[in-house]
Amino acid sequence: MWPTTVMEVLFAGGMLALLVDIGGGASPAVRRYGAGLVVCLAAATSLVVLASDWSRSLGGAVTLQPVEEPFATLYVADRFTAFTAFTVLVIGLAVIGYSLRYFESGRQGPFYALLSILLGSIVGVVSAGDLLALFLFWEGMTVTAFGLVTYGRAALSMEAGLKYFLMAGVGSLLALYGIAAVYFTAGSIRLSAIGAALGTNFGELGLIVLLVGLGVEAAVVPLHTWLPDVYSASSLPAVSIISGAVTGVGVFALFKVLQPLVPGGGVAPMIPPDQFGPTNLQAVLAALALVTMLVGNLSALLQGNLRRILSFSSITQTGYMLAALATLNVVGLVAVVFTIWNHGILKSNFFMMIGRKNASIEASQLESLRGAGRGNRLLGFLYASCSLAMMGAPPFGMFWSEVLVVESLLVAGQMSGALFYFLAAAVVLNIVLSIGYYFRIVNTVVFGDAQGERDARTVRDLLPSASLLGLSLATGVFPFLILGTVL
Amino acid sequence: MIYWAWLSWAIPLLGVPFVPVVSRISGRLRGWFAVAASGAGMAAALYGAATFARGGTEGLTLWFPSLSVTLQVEVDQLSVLVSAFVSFVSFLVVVYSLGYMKDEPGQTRYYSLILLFVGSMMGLVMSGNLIQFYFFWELVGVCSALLIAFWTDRPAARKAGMKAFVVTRLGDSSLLIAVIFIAAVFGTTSFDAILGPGGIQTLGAGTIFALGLLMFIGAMGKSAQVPLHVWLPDAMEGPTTVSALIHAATMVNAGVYLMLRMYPVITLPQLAGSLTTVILGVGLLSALVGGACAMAADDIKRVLAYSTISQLGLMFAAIGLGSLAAGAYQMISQGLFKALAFLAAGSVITALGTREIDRMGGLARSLKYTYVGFLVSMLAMSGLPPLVGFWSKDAILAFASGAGAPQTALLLAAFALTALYSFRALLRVFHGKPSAEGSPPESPPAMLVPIVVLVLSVLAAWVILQSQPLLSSTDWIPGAQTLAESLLVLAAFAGVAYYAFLQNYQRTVSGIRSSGVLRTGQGLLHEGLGFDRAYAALYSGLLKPMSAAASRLQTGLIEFNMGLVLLVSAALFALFALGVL
Repeated sequence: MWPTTVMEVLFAGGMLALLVDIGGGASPAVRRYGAGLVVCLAAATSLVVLASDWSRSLGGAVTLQPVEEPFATLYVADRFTAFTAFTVLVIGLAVIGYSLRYFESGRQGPFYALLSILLGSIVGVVSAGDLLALFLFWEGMTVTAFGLVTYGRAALSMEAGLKYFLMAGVGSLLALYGIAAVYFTAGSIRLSAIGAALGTNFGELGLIVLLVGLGVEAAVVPLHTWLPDVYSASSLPAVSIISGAVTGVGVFALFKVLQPLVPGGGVAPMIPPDQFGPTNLQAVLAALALVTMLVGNLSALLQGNLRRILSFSSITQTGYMLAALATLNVVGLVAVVFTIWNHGILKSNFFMMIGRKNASIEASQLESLRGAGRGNRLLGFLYASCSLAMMGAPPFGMFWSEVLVVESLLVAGQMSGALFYFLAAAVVLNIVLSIGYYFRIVNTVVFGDAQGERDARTVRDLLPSASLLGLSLATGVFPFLILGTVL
Repeated sequence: MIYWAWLSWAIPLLGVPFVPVVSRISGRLRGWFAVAASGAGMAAALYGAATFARGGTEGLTLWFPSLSVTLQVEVDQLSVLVSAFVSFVSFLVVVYSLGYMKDEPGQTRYYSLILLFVGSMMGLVMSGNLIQFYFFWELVGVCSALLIAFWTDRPAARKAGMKAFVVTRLGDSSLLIAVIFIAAVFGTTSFDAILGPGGIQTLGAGTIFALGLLMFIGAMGKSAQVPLHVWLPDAMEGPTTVSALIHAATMVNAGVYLMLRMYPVITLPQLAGSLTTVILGVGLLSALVGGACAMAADDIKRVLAYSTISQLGLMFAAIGLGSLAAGAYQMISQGLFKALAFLAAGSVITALGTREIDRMGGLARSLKYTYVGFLVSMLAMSGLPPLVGFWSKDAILAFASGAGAPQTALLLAAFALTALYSFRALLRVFHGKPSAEGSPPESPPAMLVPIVVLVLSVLAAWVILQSQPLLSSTDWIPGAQTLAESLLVLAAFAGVAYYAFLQNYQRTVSGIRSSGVLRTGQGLLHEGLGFDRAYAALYSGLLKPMSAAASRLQTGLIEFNMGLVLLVSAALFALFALGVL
């Protein structure tokens, strides 16, 4: 089954990358590209494995290798997990391709090894079938992500990494308390049994604590404060993967915990469908979603630094996804997974486009980037298209994501009334607000007068970006390819 | 399969990726390729209009599964007529571009976006369901923003592009809610289903009103109605060809078209006319505000932009008064004479290199073709029979007379303003003392041919239009009273314009300068009645402080960050202890 095979391939790839890095010292070409190519091969193989095993995963949840029958389900392979794993691997592959040209010299084996293990851990988080597996891979993900953030050991990235590690550590701790409480009340650590914890006060408390713990990684306001620092201080390949995959998977972890509560969400519904009005859990999630999208947007509006604009925009997107999750309906689930895809490929793309020349915080000021897209027209086209796509304009995939998020809210509104109608209005108005800063990016970077040295990146350098943009375009023009056949 | 209905919008859209390819072969070929692509689309649409016998919907493939959206075309009296008109005007503008944009840099971008713009508008017109409609609706908005900002080295153009995008998106978000609500309730957004007996009319009156209002707000953004009109006057920062497309064929007509499509809903009996009253009110207000501001504008394209707001207001007034045919007719006639006005204005701007009316004058002799074009356009806009603008205006007036005296009075006031600003523009630009040295050269044939074709259309299109299935059931012969009223207003205010703006221009100017009230009024109109200032105040008074407050959360201090995590945990524990959770 794909979760185990993919993880084995990725972890083995990571180890092998280190070995190649140590052993292949003689030839400069091997030194520079060896480890990266090994990891690239591992990610590509994983994609093939995933794709070839896809049809078998589509029938719903598949339980694998029960450790201790009534308590544990190691992995679940259904359409949501398969598609999210696909998202992560595609972004991972693009980031590896980008890194191969980004790092000009020296051994980068540890970087690729960390990247490969991070991808493997994420696949573990995505496909985990019980809370313990989720927690273990979650920790693996956090640790490797910390390694990537601090890679290169620049002072600023060390500080950002420390912040990330402390906050994610507290989040993990809270999550662990939550898991213990859920296990105590539900008598099982299976994700599908979470609904049983809702029956008691202690179980509900456990669920809430668990959500808060996982919410740190998803950057739910006010647990988000690590994210802008990490996005602005770490190296671009690291931010590309963290912004594209890790933050999205943080939301997906919330998704996994809430999925069992959704009627028709793959497991038996735990919330009585005849009850009108939002439950308290929904109300809390909706309030957090509102605050998250608003704070993200408002903070981005006056920012002058591209990296910080992008990081606050990620927080906004978390808000949209949280809003879709709060609906606890199937459309909301699809909306979340689809947004992780659409947002992930664009956001990691944005960081790749910044380029090494402008990697430092000072150089990623919008003013320093002024006219970069005028000097290099391919780059300008990419910047303009990605910005438009992030504004939710057709013909890009984000457009349909937003349609789905609003749809889930309006469907929920018919079930539970005004709260979700209000949230739908908040989402569409926030989308308008985000035009403010994305258009500013286009205005400065693409339309601004070129200054300083021309960005000399060629088609080969920008190939990963162009491919990801192509995927976004394909999703927008042919949405049925993903929504009809895959999700 | 109804091939023409698919080809009319697919050909321009499929042409878009080929523009960069063709431009590699030859720069000259690029423009002709765009002409060919839009021409082929037009041929398909005209064929459809000529052979139209009965309506129908045709689906091709499942497009967006979650809302079970099929890619489909809707062929009926409305879409056939509007698609033929849109493609015709767009084609002429693309031909005109061959001359107008000849020496401009960035032509690959220009022609790609123009084809995308035209194809999206055609796709919007032919859409068979609301989701597809909304997809193209947004695409039209994106193209217009990028084309308005085409001259990217001008900060004003970039700002105008962004403004257009933000303001129209504001309206769009309201439309999006309505569209998805309908999809969520009915499981389909196909026009056949939602406008039919089992569709929207089965909902409660309050819900229908809310839906209609949300859609109308979307239409207000796209069709530049007060107070969402502020983007249109600034949009003239783009090339004149783009203005012609936006004002005549593609962008602003989308909102009117939406209301025409939804006409069965907004006139449902259970609404008791509440929605049409709102539409009528906004339409009349926009007609007056647009007309008044056009009086004070001193940029020739700005005059035309405000006149579009005013003319669009008349279309909504027609719909609000309960006449779909008059609204559609007004949309088409406005499209024809406004395209003509912009193409003629573009010719003037090319000849003189300025847009300021005060630096023009006496051009009638040197720019003969252009003069005839502008003259015919202004006469049609002010409603001179039997030009194309006359029939729809009189029909609207007849409906207003049926509705009551206040409506009639407001409409006549809008007509009076139209005559005033049209003749002011005409007389200041083409008559009086020449301000330019020598005689500026007339434009090349590529620019004059579309002008001539449009002149002929404005003169004679009514013959064809009134035999179209959608329009033929209405009686277009005006009654004696409305004819007398409108002609009287036209003659009187054309005379006033002649007296004030040609014969005694210096006295008019000094008269306004010396009177405090008139001077204040002119200043107020000149800056568009302060709508822009109000929006700016809203931004700096509300959004900016909120944004500053939000960024204060990001202190960068670890203690503070950890404190927030603890605070959230404590708050949730407290909620739990209180029994809320």
